[in-house]
Formats: sequence, C-alpha cells, structure tokens
Amino acid sequence: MKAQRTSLIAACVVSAVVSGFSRTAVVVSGFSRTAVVVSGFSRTIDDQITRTVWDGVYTASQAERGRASYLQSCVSCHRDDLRGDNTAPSLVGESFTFLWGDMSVGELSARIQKVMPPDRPGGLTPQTYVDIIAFILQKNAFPAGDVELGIDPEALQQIRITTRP
Amino acid sequence: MRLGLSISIAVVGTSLLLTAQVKDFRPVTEAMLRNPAPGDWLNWRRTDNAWGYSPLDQITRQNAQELQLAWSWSMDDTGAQEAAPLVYDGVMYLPSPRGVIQALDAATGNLIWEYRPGATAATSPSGRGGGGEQTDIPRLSQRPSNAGGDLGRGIQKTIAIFGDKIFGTTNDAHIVALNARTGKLVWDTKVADDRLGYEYTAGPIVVRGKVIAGITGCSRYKDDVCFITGHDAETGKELWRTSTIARPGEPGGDTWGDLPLTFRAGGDAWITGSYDAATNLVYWGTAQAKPWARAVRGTDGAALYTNSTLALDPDTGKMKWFYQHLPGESHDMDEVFENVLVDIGGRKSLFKMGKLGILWQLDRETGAFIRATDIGYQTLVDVDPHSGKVTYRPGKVPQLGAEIDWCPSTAGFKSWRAMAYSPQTNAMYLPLSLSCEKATFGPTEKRVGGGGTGPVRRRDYKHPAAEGNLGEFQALDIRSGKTLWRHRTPSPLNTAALATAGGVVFAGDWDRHVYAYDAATGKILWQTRLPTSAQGFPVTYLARGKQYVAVPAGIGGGSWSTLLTPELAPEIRRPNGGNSLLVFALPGESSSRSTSTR
Repeated sequence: MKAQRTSLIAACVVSAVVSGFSRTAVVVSGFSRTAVVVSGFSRTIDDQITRTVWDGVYTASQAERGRASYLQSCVSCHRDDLRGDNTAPSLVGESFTFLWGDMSVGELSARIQKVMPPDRPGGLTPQTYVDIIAFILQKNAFPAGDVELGIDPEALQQIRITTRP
Repeated sequence: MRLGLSISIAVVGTSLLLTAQVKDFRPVTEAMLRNPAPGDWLNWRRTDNAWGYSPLDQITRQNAQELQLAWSWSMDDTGAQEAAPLVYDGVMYLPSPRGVIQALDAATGNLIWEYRPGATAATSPSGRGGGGEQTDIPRLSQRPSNAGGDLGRGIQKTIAIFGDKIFGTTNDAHIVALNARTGKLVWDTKVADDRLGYEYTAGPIVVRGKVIAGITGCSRYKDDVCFITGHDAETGKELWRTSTIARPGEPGGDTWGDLPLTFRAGGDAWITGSYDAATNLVYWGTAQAKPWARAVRGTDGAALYTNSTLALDPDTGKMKWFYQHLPGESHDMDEVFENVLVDIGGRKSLFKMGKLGILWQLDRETGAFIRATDIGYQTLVDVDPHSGKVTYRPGKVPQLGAEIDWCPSTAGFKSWRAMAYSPQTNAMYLPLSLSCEKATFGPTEKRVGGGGTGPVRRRDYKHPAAEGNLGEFQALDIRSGKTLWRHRTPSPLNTAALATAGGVVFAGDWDRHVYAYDAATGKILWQTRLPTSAQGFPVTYLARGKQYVAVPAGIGGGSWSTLLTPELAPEIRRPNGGNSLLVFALPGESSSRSTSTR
C-alpha cells in the first residue's frame, strides 16, 4: 500500500512536471489521490499544483448523490433553489462567493460538519458531506470532472474556492 | 372457530380505535379563553396576556424537591420540535413537527386521537410567482412527514382551541381546524403560496370567533409582502389581511426610501400574539427588515412596520397603533417576540424583550413608550430613557465587507423562548442565551427570488460577562428594573419560562437539564435530566385534581441558539433525536393511573 502510494506520488510529480505545473494537466492526468498525496510535500510543489474548484474536483454522479442527500437534510432551510431563507444563508451565487471565496473546500467541509444539520451536527457520514459539497459546487457552476471529491480533510484543504479559474 | 375468534377481536379493536374520542367535551367559550379555569392551559401562554403563569399551587417551594416522572411520550422525530401543549379539562392537545397534533389523556399520556396530515404531492416547480429562480429540484412539501425526511424544520410551535375545534398552522402556509373531540379535519385554508417561501412556524390565537395568525418566510424578494390574517373560526374564510410592510404610497411607505414593493422584505410575524379584551386589541410582533443590514437592503429608512409591536382590531385587522422598537434595524436583532400584558404602576402596559435584552414597557392602549430596561449585555445601541429613541453606537452600523464586533450574536440574548411573569414577585423570568459575534455582511442578488437575509461571515464567541457560560435564567423586577437573581448555565437556556402560584418557576437548558427554581430567590429546588435538550414551552395543569408539569424535550433546528453549543461548547453533547414530552408530578394518591381513555 505504502509503495503504491509512493509510486502514485512519483507519477503525479512527473505528470505535474511534464505538464509544466498546469492545473488542467493534473486533472487530466486523472489521479484520484493527487491532492492527498501532494499535501505532505514541500511547499513549492503544494503552491504550484494546488487546485481550485474550477479544476473538476467532483463528478456529476457524485453531485447527483449529493442532491439526494441535500433533499434529505438541507432543503427545508436552504430551500429548493439553495438560496436559503431566514436563518439559512444562500449557498449559491454572490452569497456563496462572499461566504467562501478564497477559502478552501476543506474549510467549508469542516464548517458544515461542525454545525450542520443544526439538529444533529456531524450527524451525516463524511461521504455524504462531501457529496453535498459536490452538489453545491455544481449548483455554483463549477465544472464536474472525472474524479470524485474525497473525504480526506487534508486533500480538501488543497482545493481553493475562487471566483474565476 | 379459532380463526373466527381472532377476526372478531380484530374487528372490535378497530372499531374502538375509530370511535376513540374526547368524551364529554364541552365547547370552549370566549369567556373561558379570557379567563381559563385554574387547571387548564388554554392559550399558548395559558392566558391571553401571555404571562406563562399558572395559579396552581400544589407544587410549592417546599415540596418541589419531590417531583418525579409521572408519564412520558415520544413525539415524532421528523423535524424540529418547539411545542407548546394546550390542556383543557384533563386532555392535552400536543403539537408535533410537521403538522401532527395529538390528544392525550393528561393524567396518563394515553392517546385519544391523532391528526396526521396526509401526504400531499410535492408541488412541482413553477415559473409563476416570485419564489426565485426555480431549479430542477422539486419543492419538498414540509407538511407531511416524509420518510427519512428533512429534520431541519417542520416546526409547529403553538396551536389554539375554541368551540369544538383545535386550530393549527402548517409549514406550507395553511391554517387547519380539527374537531377537538375526534381529531378529524374540519377545514383547511391555504393562506399563501409556500413556493414563494411563505410558511408558518407559530400557531394562531382565537379572539371573538376569529382565528388570527402571522405568516413567516418573508425574506426573499417577491411581488408581495408578509401579513397577519383573521379567519372565521367556523369556516376558515379569510376576513382580513394586514400587511406587516408599508407599501409604496401608503402611510409609512416612505420609510423604505424609494425601494419598490418587491425589495421590501421581512416583517415576519413568526411569534403568536396576545389579546386584551379591555382594549379589544390584538398585539402582534413583527421581525426585522430583510436583508438584515441597511447597506444590503439599500435603505437607511426605518422600514415600517418591521421590528414593531402592532395593535390590531381583531374584527377588521385595522392597525390602531404601532411601536417600532428598532427603526432601520441592521443586525438581525428581532423584536418580534411575545407581548406580555401587565397592569403595573397604574399603567396598562405591554412588556416585550427582543434579542438585545432590552425590556420594553409600552402603554397598551396608545402604544406610547413608558420605559426601557437594558439587562446590560448588549453593545449595539443606546436608548433614550425618556423617549425610547434608539441610537446606534459609533461604528456599529454594518458596512458591506467590513467586520464589526457586537453583543449579542445573531442568536440573541432572548429569542422565541418566551419569558414568564409572576404577579407574586412582579418579576419577569427570562430564558437567555449569552454570546457575541464578529460579523461581516455581504451583498445579495437584487432581483425577484433573490434577497434573503444576506450572507454574513460570522464568528461567535462567549459573552465576556458570562464567565464561560452560554445560558442564563434571570428574574427581573419590572417595577425597579433590577435583576432579582440569575442562574448561569454552561449551555443556553432552551425553553420558555413557566411561573406558578406555588412560588416555583421552571425552565430547561440545551444540556438536558430542567430546573425548578424558587421564584423569589432563584434557589434550585429540584432538577432532572431529559433524553435530549429541554425544548419548547413547559406547561402546568390539573388532571383528576392533581397538578402536573409537562416539559417538552427535543431537537430544535430552527433557531440560532441551537447552533451555539456545538460551536462554542462542543464538549456538551446531546443525542441527535429524542423529541418527547416528559410529565412530572408529586408522588401521592391522585397520581397517574393507567386508566382507559376518557
């Protein structure tokens, strides 16, 4: 397992180098654990290949699962168009950017797991939380990719929420 | 033979179930609502003046320590629970999440009937109306109990009784009337389109044959504004509708600057009102304007009739007077809460406390300001003691994108957890939540379906004066404005207060405690722990001659205060479920016996 991870790292670094550190190239390379793996490495590499929500960090089918979970656990406060009401903030558009712009998906995830749903904070599975985040990203028109958003907190910390690619 | 026997038993069982009803039910009259029998809890705060006070005195400061569980009842775990039970003639009418109402024998908890709204088809998205850009997500109707449904809301705080009917409001903006004997639906009136965001979280009151209720879900931009309505109790027919927002061109309309109607949001009437037969006025609160911050909603105006107390004629809905507590409110500091009507110092007064922890005393005949008592925790405003005029302290009006720091947090020191008044001590009993926050307000989309409260980046923190606690139960003398006593708790106070003539007051906290306090001294006479957070509205009543104290427990998702504990005191845990009602009584002869339903 360990060896496998190492070779993945190597492949990743190689691909990043080959691609000239372009974010797109990392995504295209399709390494599901890219960000996880990279997180342990030197700042130089981190800085250069940190991803953003524009890099296809979730899949369409994951967002579909997230949609179902949203309908189970979030919709009565955040509403069917995610624009919120009363105590629940809007999760899309300008509001989302204001609340989460320049922060990481990891920070968003940590916050949601800490306080949501308000009746039973942390009451969903880690997978359900990231699925719901995938759905929120989709509703904010961030592109889907080939690889699911994982549950690893460190990996999520590596994905930044930015208003433009 | 054997088969035949079991069939006949089954048939008998079914017919018993079908005919279960409240026996010897006597219709509730207008006179009873105005002056309930001592053993009854007929209005959401027992009396129409919203005291939350019972004249029962079997439970006293001497014997409260002997209180023990008499019976308990699991409530639906399908949503947030902030229930205020009613009790009439030994029968408890208990509101549960998502419109469920049950009639229980108040001495035993035996179920007499239950009303479960049928599953209505989820309304499909519609382009009409202004409910926002519709998406491909079907609207989840909040009224029926959906299997595995969303626990976030479904709140049904209060219900009302009059004649032979029980009245409730629903999360999809209907008012319903049930037969109080059988629980059968008598009428169902759709008051507003829930696809526009409209909903009810608080129930009605009944005055002179009119069912009066206030709508909420008023924060999104739409070509309509929120309101309070009056309905014929017999038929549900709407008799009047009074807007809680001044429209352009109407009196007060200029207090929104030049904003068109679409961008005048808020004024949610989300707490049940009071009534005074002497003035023949209904008193109802309104919430703040939306979006919360002036800079976001685009006007510095007072924004009438938000964050006000309205005095309405119950027959016509005509506004006799209004008093706006915080003109141009800008921080989500609600003043919408209960209106407690007390005659004191020769004045027919109305007392109200909002999130800032300022106890307002108004003349309830004229709406004139009498007095404001600041309990001393807020850092936002100064109040002129003679006029009641509110001035924001320097730097406290939020600007877009700039962080400000104030107390309380958006949870408020006081929220829907109603205070109680005891005429024995002349004290108001205040369930409080103590916190502060640093917050930055952001923009909203200024178009139909946009708006809302506006996004806020916030960091809550514990109130510096609270010595590490998040909760306080305080007795405040309304004559002197002095604090008689306080009891701080690590978690927020989480129920309404209940005062009794036995000199005992009750309240509970997020951390599952229920306390019985000596009303005069604050000494804790008795305490116990519940399955989950103490919640909703504790009540007391007589059943078969014996005094009971009923305390709801449960998860409440619809309030900021619920979020404070996980965030600021994560070491305090509670189960993620457990909606229930726990009923306590003294040991002894007339204690609860498991008898059949009445």
